[in-house]
Amino acid sequence: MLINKKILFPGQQENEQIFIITRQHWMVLVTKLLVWFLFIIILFLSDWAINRYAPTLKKDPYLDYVNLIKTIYLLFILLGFLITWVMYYLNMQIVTNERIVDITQKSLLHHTISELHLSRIEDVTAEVNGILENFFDYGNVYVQTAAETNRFEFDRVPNPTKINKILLDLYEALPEKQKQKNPFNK
Amino acid sequence: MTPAFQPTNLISSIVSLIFYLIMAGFVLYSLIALYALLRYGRSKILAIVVSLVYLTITAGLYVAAVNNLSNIKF
Repeated sequence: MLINKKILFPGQQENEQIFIITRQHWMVLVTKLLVWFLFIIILFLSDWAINRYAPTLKKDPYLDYVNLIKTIYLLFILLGFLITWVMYYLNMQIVTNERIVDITQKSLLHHTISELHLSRIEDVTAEVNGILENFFDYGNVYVQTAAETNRFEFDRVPNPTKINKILLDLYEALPEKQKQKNPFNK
Repeated sequence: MTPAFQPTNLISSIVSLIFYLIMAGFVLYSLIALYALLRYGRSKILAIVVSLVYLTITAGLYVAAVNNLSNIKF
């Protein structure tokens, strides 16, 4: 399916057609947020523990200390949520009729954009492994390039088999001249 | 409105120093996260909305934290 969008990455050609914009499956975000949720549970557990084992902490002068610590803790929980979501949101892969673009946010200030021309594709593999992956239909797509060690990876993306097929179809649609540029395609 | 926290002795000075150092770290990380979102995010509108919601909630929590600090009797 063709997606008509404005400029999405540096170096995008004017007449370049975008076929896929994908990021990790939402289940990946949910899994990360479950870890984050544990920290919220700690907050409730601490309230319960204070009520049960240290009721004096609910009275002056300790109450203000407890409230202060709880508020600071909440601020950092919120910050953790923001960072988790931002890291999820900023990682994405784009497939056009000319190349694959992998936009990776390794940390908040470490942003990388890798590109792979479709003519360099050697082999495409879709992998769905695990209960959640099968149930929610997400997994990895590996794109083997002409260079022996270089492998593009779509990490836990939705519909990996569909992406696999689109990549192969786009490769097949390339003019023979471009395919022959790849020294490994003989 | 609660008056700004005024440290009155050594312990309160140390507590307030620790508090504001923690807040400085928090603000720094928050600004970096929001900068990354606004700089690299595909949808600027979404990034602005998320930033505003985040800033509103954190501002409320920060005021609550300062109030809690002011209420502590040393």
